[in-house]
Amino acid sequence: MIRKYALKRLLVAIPSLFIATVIVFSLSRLIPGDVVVLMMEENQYAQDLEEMRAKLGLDRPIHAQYVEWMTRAVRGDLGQSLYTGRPVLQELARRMPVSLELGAVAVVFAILIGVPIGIVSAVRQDSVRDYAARSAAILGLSMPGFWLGTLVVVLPAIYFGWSPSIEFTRFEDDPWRHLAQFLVPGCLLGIASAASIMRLTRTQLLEVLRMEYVRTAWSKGLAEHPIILKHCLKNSLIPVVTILGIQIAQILSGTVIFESIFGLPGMGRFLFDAITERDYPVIQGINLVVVTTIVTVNLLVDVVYAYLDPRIRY
Amino acid sequence: MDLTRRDLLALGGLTLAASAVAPSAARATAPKRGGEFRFRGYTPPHFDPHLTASYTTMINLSFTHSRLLRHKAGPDVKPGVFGIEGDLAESWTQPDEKTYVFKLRKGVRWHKKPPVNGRELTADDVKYTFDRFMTIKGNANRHMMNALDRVDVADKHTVKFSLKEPNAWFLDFLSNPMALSIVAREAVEQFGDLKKPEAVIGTGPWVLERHEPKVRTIFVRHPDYFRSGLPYIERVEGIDFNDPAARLAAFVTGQLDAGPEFPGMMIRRQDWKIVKEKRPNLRYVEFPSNVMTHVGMRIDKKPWDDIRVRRAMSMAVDRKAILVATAEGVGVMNPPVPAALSAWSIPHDQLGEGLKYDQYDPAEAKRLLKEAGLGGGFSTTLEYATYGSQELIDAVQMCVKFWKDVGVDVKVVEKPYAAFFATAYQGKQDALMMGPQFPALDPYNFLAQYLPGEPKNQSHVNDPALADMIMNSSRTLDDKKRRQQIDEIQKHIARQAYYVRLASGIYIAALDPKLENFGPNLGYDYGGRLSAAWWNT
Repeated sequence: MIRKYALKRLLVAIPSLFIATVIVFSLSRLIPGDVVVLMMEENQYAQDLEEMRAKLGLDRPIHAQYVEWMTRAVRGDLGQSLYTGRPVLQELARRMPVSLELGAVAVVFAILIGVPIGIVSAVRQDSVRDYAARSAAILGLSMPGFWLGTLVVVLPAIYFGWSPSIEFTRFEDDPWRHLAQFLVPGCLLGIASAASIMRLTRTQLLEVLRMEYVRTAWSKGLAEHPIILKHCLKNSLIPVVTILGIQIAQILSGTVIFESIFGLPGMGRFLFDAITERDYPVIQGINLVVVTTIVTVNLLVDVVYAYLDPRIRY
Repeated sequence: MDLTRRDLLALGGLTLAASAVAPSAARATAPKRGGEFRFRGYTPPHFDPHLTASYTTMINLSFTHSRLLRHKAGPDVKPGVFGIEGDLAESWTQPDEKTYVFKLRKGVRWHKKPPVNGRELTADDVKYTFDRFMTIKGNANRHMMNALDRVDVADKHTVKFSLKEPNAWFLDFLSNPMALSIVAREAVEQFGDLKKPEAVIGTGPWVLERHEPKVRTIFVRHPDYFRSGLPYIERVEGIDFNDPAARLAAFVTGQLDAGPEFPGMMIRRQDWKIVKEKRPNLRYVEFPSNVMTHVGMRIDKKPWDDIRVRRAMSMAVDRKAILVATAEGVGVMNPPVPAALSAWSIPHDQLGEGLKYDQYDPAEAKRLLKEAGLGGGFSTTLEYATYGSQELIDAVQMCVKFWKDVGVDVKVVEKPYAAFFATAYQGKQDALMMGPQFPALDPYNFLAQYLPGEPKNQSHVNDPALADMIMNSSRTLDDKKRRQQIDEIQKHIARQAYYVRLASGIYIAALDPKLENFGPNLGYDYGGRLSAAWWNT
């Protein structure tokens, strides 16, 4: 049954992915004006306009361009960066682990903070702790990442003479320093997700706490801990899994800001630089990877959701 | 020295340019070898100096490559002054107006990297470099050598440059850190071009050890550098870092040894108070910026062909108010050659009749417009790009307001940078354009914007007398005479009000106080300036 459901979801994911690739492919071609002229004037990526068009594959019909781009992408060839001349996939492979590490720290932080606070907030509903937690969550959701990141970098420098290291340390050079450099940006990146998870955990747990089987558990004289953690939490966390999928997409986009502020050479900063440098093959390549990741994560979340709650069938 | 807005405005701005604050004198400590210098580095598109005009490439190559000539550097050099001295050339002569003969230093070794492997540099390398520079397709800096006819090897250590016509700026161009690094033939042949980090093989003070794009570039001391004993600093690390707030934090906390802002180890004026408070012993030098923003007018169209209208446009603008609003009031008024190039720029108050057209006088501006038959005012457009600069946006808005005050209604057309660069920056605007100009180190590049046919001639100036004056000055080899000619050119331009020139800001170069024998300057020759510096620790 679950296999059939997974297959159905996979079939839905394929057109989503197709539409996404068409959008990714079309965006750079829909920019007003002759972008090739602009790229040449500004960056001299080629010796003349014709070479530039050929480099970008713009000298052929648009459908042929799309087919060729997709065929090459499926084979793992995302073209070459116009700025550095290196293959986009090679650049991505070097930068992806940085973004994944940052994203992983953010997700772990979001779960470790969001779920426990959500539980306390639900169990102690309308108490001071609940109000404090909900206020903190709203604050966490409201604060823009670039502002928070800048404050965390600048204020300690001004008041305590300390700021996070601007030098990226490779794992092979110093494993501990390498991991440590992700802690501050990872936690900051995870704040908004933690807030969302906290709010959803609280709402879901409150709903479950009002259910009859929980009332039965209370009436049987069970202690609070087993009721909350064993009987309620599992059921209330199922929707949290769904929101995690959305959060991963948000975290991926958040890396653009935090990698730039904290000097991490990940995919987000790569995208930021590529936009600045009008490096369209890179922009297309990164967008394709991000879109594919999001579609895949959502597919996995849906399948896991169905697995966790066998009642769910669309 | 602390320069306040009032100080500078009281000095009429230009006084500062004439006496750009000299760096603190080198202390009497003996040079020491060792240590590391960390600065805000840049990831270049690639490392081939003949295939890009990117300053990011040139800054990196300033550590690894030598030129035939170079600009003098050191704590005694006044910023904005670019004296010329031999780099690979030990000496040079000029047998006639169109010929230069350079004697190369003997025993200059390339970096010990394959395929060059530390062999001696010869005149063939110089010829090869210039031949490649002149003939390679896609060299955006080729115009710098327009005057060059050919390069001949006289012997192993002598090279002869023949020009098409006398060119007084030729040695300045040869010294320019933009693109004229001497490269090795073997590297080009092995790698196809010089784009890869492996192809970075020069004869300069440091050797490229590691390049991690968007992370860092590390240079280590070239043990066989031809200036005996130099460089003193063992290792140089350029840390590529985007975010200005994080860069400030890194500098304040001592993670960088020099101000992290472009160009050349500066800090932003708005950060100055914090930096001074947190690093009180910091050594800093203030000097005028060579970035000059101006308004170009289509002189080939009405009403800009009328000198009265151009003068009115200029007199309507309160430059000091713009300076106060955008640069905390600290800056210098610019003659046609920016005040920053103090060796060639005429003092602003000596512009003669043209001086009054740079001064705020809205009543006179209205009178001139009335005299030109535009007393009822008129509408026009101004094209610009923000360059990501709030200061520029503010300056544009203030100009629009000043023009409105005299009856000229200017509609602002904001363009993306690239579109602006491809159009208005090259004089393809409908009426007015506004933007910063290329921060050249020689006056010729600024005067070229008055020559017909030059892409930089954004006002479409077609003044045969002026063009003759500029070309004559380029052919005048006597410096004193040429300076007089350039003074006259600037006076003439000011009278004609071909552009509305705005004031330039004042840079603040900030350096770790323990760095000795170093003087900051304009331009991209980071490595050249650092090569004789040492750490007093």
